[in-house]
Amino acid sequence: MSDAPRNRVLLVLALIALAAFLGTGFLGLAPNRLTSPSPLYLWQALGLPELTAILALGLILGALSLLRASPNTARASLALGTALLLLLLFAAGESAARLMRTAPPAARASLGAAFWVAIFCLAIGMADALRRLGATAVARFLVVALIALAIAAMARGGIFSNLALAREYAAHRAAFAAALDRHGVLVLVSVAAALLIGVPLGILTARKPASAGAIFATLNLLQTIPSIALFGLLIVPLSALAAAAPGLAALGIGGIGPAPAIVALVLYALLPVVRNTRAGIDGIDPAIIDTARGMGFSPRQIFLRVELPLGMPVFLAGLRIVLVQTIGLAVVAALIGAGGLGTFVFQGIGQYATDLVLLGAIPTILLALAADFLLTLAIALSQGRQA
Amino acid sequence: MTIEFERVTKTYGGRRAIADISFRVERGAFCALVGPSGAGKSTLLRMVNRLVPMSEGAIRLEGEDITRLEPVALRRRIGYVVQSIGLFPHWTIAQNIATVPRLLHWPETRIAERVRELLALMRLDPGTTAERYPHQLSGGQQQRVGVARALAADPDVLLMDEPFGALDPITREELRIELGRIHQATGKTILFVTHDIDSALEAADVIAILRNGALVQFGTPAEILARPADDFVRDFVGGAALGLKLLAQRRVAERLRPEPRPEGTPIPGDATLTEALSQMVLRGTDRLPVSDENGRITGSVALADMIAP
Repeated sequence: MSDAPRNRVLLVLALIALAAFLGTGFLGLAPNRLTSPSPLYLWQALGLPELTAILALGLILGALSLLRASPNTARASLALGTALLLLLLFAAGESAARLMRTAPPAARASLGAAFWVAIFCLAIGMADALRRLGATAVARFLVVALIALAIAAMARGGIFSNLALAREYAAHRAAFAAALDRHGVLVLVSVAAALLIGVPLGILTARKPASAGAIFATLNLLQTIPSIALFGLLIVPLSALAAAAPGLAALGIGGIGPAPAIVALVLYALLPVVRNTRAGIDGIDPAIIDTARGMGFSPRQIFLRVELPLGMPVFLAGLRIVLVQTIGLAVVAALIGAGGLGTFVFQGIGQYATDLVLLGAIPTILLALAADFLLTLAIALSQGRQA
Repeated sequence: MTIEFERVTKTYGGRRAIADISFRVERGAFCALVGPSGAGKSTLLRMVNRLVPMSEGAIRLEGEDITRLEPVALRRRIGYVVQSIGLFPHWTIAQNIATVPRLLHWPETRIAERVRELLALMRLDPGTTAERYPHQLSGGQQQRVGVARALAADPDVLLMDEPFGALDPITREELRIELGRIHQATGKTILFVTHDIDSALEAADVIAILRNGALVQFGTPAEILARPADDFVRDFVGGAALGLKLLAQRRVAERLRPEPRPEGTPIPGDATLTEALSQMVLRGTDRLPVSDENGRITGSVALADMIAP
């Protein structure tokens, strides 16, 4: 039994989380939103029932890592991990509420380093358990969707409303909705435009390999320009354009605002779109295309009925990269007045208000994760029936 | 449908890959294109459905110049089977077989009926095969589907590019026999590329032997074996075993004498002379009794008559 294969991943994660709880605060309490919070350790922040439950679940999870790894231990760690994740969230909300009952109104209870490390370790541990169970993309999606629903229900129930993040949200409620909206528009418009330009370019590089050199050299070069620099560089030509054509200016196109942001996001999105379109077409067995031609498919029919469906998993993989990348990059667009969730990030940096930064950053991360998850699911479904 | 090649030439950057080839395949004939690799067999085949454009000369189907036809429409009238099969992995077997009828906008009921017919013709069980995907079938079954797909819209001409080349010898033999049966039953004109001269000698009505892009000999198997055009053809079709292969082309009935009628188990008149020779060696005799299809003794065959030219 002593040399039986154990789940080392789980053991390491448990030790990291333990170190984080011992060394850093679970929550932080600050007299107001602009000062640095002083850490409250787990045992200081939590009431006895929550503390006991968290310790018990944590100990069992740690003990699981010492057992011989099997599908049953993986299932157990998935279930316990989910429970512990929800419990940590609940405890954080509850403790914040308790702290705020006695604290002055301007005080803020924020999430501490130990909280984030523990959530991170749990996420990794659960992903590891799903992998060990050989879960399909659909099963993974269901697990994550259920956990997300549970957390959303807790948020709706007001459990988190005393955390600093929720306070920032409450203070910026209208601005947040507008920013989220704008962020979505920036991403969707940019990705749609990148697809409209990039897919034909990708098809061109697949059909005429001689054209690939110049196209990929240009797109690679664009990709090397730092994003802030590109946003800045676009101000000049677009201002000139707007000055030369007042009609465009009336449409809202100018040196600052959404126009240069979308142009920059499209330029960055082109490389993955073009590359994956080409890879998707090139990856198809040439014999299939040859017989399709030989049986009398027109070029259009070959594209629509053969290349498009067979290349779909690779095309969707490209779309996944582009969506995740654009959601993240759109944060920077706030710098040139394009709005979006980046607004809170840069305001927060300016005010030295960490929770305001998080109000912009966390939804961005969640959006990117959601896009990643949905596209991964779509890719798995599009591959479903093929060998 | 007759297929006529007239001075067909294909040049790639000044080099002649196909040089001045002319021959004519009669309606309903099984014509094998054979030759060593690089001889231009596939290129010549792919010129018939215009996957490879011709540089000079003309190919005529039933007298009609193929360059006067629209390539896509032309290809829908010609069955096409290749070694790598090329089934669409995202379509079921039934959908794969229905490819060309769908391109031709046949009504769905007619398509469904045709798919059932072809599955039966290719001895594939419609119940278990129709809704499967290609990767769930063995290589031999996949190529049966490939042939069924090529036959779907009932084309007059079938182009086959080493269709059984990637299969194991037993499956290959099985499918060759199957193809012979279908050829008999449907009367399609078949152009069949192979580098296996023995299967060509066995199955083909006529053989075109290609070498370095040129046609070195065109004729029936018996003609080619009896009078090889040059040393290359002699070596290619048989070398030392040429005589035996010639015997395999001839039937006992062709060399039958009514008398005498020796004792012993008779050999049927439609057996090949190779089989007769084999029996003579086994029995240590130079003369065998011969029977007709009803088992009646009709005479005998003698070694001296068999080896006469």
